[in-house]
Amino acid sequence: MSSNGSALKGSATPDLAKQVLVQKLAQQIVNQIVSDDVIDDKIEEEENQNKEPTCCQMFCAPFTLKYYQPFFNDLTTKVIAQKLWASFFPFKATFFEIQDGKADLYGPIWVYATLVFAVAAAGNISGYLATPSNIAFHYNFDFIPTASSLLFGIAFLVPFAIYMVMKMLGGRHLHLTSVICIYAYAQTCIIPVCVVCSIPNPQLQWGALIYAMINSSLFLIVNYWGELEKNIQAKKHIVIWLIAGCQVVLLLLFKMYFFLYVYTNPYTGSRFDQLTKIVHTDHFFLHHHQQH
Amino acid sequence: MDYSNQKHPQNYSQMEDLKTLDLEESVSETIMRDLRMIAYKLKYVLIPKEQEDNGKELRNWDLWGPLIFCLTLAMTLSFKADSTTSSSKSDVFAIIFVLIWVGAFVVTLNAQLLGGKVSFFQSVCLLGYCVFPINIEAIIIAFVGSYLPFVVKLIPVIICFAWSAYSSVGFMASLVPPHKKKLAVYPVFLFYLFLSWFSLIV
Repeated sequence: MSSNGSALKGSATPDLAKQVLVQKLAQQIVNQIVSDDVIDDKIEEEENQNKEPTCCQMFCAPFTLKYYQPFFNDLTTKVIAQKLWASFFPFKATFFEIQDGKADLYGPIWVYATLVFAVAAAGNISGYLATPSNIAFHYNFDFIPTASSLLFGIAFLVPFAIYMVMKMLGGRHLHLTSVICIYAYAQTCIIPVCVVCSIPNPQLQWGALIYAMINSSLFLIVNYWGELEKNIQAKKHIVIWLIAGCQVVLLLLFKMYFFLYVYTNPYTGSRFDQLTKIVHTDHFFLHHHQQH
Repeated sequence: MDYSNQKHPQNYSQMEDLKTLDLEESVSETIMRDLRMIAYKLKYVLIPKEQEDNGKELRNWDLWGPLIFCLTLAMTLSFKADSTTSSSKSDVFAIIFVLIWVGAFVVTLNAQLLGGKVSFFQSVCLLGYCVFPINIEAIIIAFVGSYLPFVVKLIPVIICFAWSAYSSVGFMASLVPPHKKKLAVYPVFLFYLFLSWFSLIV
């Protein structure tokens, strides 16, 4: 405050001197607050470095965003595209070579979200096309909550079961997130299958769903074959049956709930029939016309 | 304070200056001011020519606009629910309401986890405002949809879906590094596809 004396001597009016004094006081107060804050922060940082994580911090960690950040680092569009592409070719065990087998959680979330949409839409389209035209079709909104609960439920439970079984039978180099990740990519083949299943022909639907079941089970088994051979050996058929069984149950559920209504008799006059009949009638008319 | 801009503020900070008067004014004036704010932001978000400052205006996010559009959409779609769907009106309303907010939440989280440095509510605000075109198409189809064949119904649906997606994709894509752009954009696309699909089939 010694500089104030010189400021007062040189000032023209008492008002100006008061202003200068107030400004200098304010500056000093702000500096004091800032330096106090900085010191407080430094002390807190040092304390945090020395403390072990508390019980609360350990349990609350999965609810913070930072916990999931490692699974989204180093993700590029190319990596995800490679993983999706690999899921359609189950005979090549290349999944764990993409990005050194690093698990990502982008795949699980968005594959299941797309599947919910695809299954709910396709189930309703196939129901609509399968009902006769004189019966009004009621869009079933319940498919969406059911599909979400089913798919996001199996997203965690089935990989957890596979992980526990493999760990108990002696598997090593397994992480729960890695199993969740590969299981989700195994389900991507169901998305185009759903599109195909919008057509209410029962043979087509069963065929497509059986293909989806075989593709997804094989994808999982082939990619885990190395692990199974090395560490589990004798009891690997338990794991194989578990994986195949889960896929069969899932796809039976799909057929029995979402794609239940199909036409059995081609001549009942369903809306799908009407669509295809229009094509046939046109052909007949053209042919008939050309003959004369 | 510059009162000459009271009726037509040129930017949001001038609107903020007016807020100091709100304890003395009537309720209708407050509501009209909020509605004008929502309309201003809506024009900013949906008309691409207005975005010269790369989305800085969105820093003044608000959730009133998204709430109004979400409620309107849910009410429009549940309006005809009893006649065209097997679920009750309240089921449809609940599904759409939850879908919009949970969807916006998850899409924003996804952008943040992929490395986008954006405030959470800024992104939710943008996604909510871009639901407005879906609102328009839902209203069109709810009132005249039963008289139109399916193919004609598809036209407004596709136009409004493209408009929503285009408005929000520009913002979302600018948040993340270039090699992750498609990863951040696809969820936005899926979100608006889901909503457009609802407005088409009800």
